[in-house]
Amino acid sequence: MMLRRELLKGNTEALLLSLLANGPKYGYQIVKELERRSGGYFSFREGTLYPALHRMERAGLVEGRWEPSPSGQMRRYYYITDKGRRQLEVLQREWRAFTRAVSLVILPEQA
Amino acid sequence: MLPEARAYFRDLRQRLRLAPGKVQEVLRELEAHLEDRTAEGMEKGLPREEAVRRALAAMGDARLVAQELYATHARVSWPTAALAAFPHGVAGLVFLVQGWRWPWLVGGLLALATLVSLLSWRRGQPLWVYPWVGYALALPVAAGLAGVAIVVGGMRDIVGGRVAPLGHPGLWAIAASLPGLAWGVATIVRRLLDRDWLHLTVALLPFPSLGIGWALFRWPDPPAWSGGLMALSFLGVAGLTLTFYRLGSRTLRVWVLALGLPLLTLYTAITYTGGLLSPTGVTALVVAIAVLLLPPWLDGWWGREKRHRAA
Repeated sequence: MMLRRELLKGNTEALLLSLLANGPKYGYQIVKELERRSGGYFSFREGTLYPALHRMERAGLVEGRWEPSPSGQMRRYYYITDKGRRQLEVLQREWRAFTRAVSLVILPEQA
Repeated sequence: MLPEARAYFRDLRQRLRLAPGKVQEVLRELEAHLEDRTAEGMEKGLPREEAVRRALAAMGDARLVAQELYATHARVSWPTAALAAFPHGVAGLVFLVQGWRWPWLVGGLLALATLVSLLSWRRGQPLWVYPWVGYALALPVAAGLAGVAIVVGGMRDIVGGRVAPLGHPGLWAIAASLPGLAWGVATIVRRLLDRDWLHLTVALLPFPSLGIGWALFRWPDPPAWSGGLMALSFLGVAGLTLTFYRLGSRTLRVWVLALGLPLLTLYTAITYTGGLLSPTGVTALVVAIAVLLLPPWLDGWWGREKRHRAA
């Protein structure tokens, strides 16, 4: 569980940008979507999610906008920016290189 | 909202210590999240109270959430940190070139700091403005102290049967202006405390150095090295300010100021006097300790006052 939390922490930016690349979402939707797409493997705590989103907003990677949700309640939707898309491409490239390198070492029979 | 949720958000509001607009936005966003989590729990068949309780537990400890959000919003970029430290650099330069010999220059720079502070304050209090506010405060504080000294001296002359240099009308005029000055300074201090007492500490950082500088240049012919010493002292304050603004953790910020300011003051005072137990050294150290202790103490007092009025 500890290892999973560390992995999540180290890849928060890549995970959030990947989720937002498919369309704008508000915090609760992000939590649910991450749980769904990771098959329940990852789960964001709010204390991690919102500081990360705000940090990325300050860095210009995402942009928050208050908009009505389908139920009519106002929610803060996060949109990925052009800078965020470029950053996501960099992170994806890095991730591919990293996982390949790790696999070569710890799973040599599958490499 | 249930009492547990109200208590959680009240706790969070007190701990956030961000710009008022940002605090409102963060709380609104987290409240919306709590609503969604609660609705999810109720859809699964939980009673409302239990759903809220579980949603709050999932949010995490208010102290930790506040710490993370503070670290996110308080840390500034290098250019912004440099802008915050800029007035200390200018103060150091003034001492280096012995600029105190030209009162119009010192007065002009303090007036400029006041103008920048006022304009920035009206545009939403950017984080870099607090050191500028410190220099804006220096002018009324110095005028107030000088006013008190003139009035007390004048009263002594009158009681002792001597002729007061300013005469009665002048003394009364200065005495009458002192409450206005005190009110002005108190208003600024209160506004700083409303945002975060640490900003008041940052604003007051140059005061120990200003005190040593004042003591040094009361000499009719200050030694040639004194300008360089004071410039170094202000460079130290600029370094402290830069470090403060580049750190995200509030705890680290407090430690940097709590250790850095007394050490810097001690170094300057010892270099100046050749020993700590000189009146100037002791006074500067007392001012440094006051700069560190006064803001949290005032914050506690002002917080209690506000809660009392709200009740």
